[in-house]
Amino acid sequence: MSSVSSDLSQTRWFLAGMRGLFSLPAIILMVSFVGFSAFALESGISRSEAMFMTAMVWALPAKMILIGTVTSGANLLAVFLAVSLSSIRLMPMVASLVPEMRTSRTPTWLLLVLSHFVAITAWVFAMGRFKDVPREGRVAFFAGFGITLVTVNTALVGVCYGLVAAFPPVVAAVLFFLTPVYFIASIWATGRQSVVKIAFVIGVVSGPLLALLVPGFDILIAGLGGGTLAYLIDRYLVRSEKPVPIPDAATEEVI
Amino acid sequence: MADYGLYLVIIVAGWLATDMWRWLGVIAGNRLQEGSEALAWVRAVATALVMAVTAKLIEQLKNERQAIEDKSKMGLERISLIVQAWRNRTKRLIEDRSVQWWSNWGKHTAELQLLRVDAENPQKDDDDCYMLTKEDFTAVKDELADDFVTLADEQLAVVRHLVAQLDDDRLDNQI
Repeated sequence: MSSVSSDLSQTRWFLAGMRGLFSLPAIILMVSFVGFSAFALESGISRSEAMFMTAMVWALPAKMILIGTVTSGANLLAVFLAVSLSSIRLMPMVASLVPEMRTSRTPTWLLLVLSHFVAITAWVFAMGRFKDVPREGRVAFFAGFGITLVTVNTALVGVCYGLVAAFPPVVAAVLFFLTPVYFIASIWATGRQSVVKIAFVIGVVSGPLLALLVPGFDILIAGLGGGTLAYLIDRYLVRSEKPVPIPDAATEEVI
Repeated sequence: MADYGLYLVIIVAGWLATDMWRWLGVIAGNRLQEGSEALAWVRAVATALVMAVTAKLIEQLKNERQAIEDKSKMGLERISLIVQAWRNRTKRLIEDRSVQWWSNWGKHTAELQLLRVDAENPQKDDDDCYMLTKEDFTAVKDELADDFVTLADEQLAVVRHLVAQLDDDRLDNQI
């Protein structure tokens, strides 16, 4: 493969990723960011601060916590702790995405830069779409999607700041309901490994349950504990009965 | 100075607090081999995390919806109470012929004020008629305007309907 045709195909996959802007999850996310611009205005955050926050933090829950703790007058350390506690989930999300997108030649600095664009929407989108993208194109594909999504939403926050006060509650409820529906449908449909489906079920059940039992740490416990439980069930109950343990890894290694 | 302060907070407590986990994810993910047991575990943890967040989101939406329904139900109950009081009050005023005094001026305001008094003191004996000054009306009118601005369209429509009905009743009574 000559470097010219390789560059061309990288550009093509970058553009393909950009087109992800017109996918359902991206559109729902944009609506959420319109809501975020209203929330920022209400909380006394300026237009440029809200835009800066969108580009720098990106993950929406982390930004809500950032604004919430800052406006409550908490000190820097307390804000840092609150935001980082809510963002621990980004680590396993990125860690599970990286082996799917890197090639032997992908530089680590590029992965570090691109990891900034990982948040729930991009993770679900990438996990779902990667199977249709050849390994060589996945980094470019994710870069196209992630960079476009962050840029467009940063601009959107700037434009909508002060324009949109709030959605009518019913409209907001319907739009925001589409997010979990998409996540559920997408993760279930694209979960290729049995462990993903087991973790899916355990996460759905344990999330609300632990929210009642140990509020504040529910997501962490559901993730670490529930995920580990799902792994153990998969390893010792499900896969031990089947002779072929990991079906699709081999095909992906071949480019 | 305060402006730059917030930018600093965003960089330290926003950007650093989120991206450090992403970078750790890259470092951890770089060591994971496709098809390894470790990756299967990380995948399980990530999936369980995302699904727990999603399930919580659904719970939250259900609660919000319930809150909206409760609020609008409460609003409607309060309005029907007010309207009932309004009717009684208006009838009594008409019977007393004191209606002449306020019918030419801000009658809805006056009615609303009376209703408000009724609504706030539901147990209060209805026999005494309040004679209110213009200043009272103006002060309360602003308050009421605020109150009614927060009503949903659907609730306002009910109020308007009942007001129209009420006007007919009063006309009937007057004739």
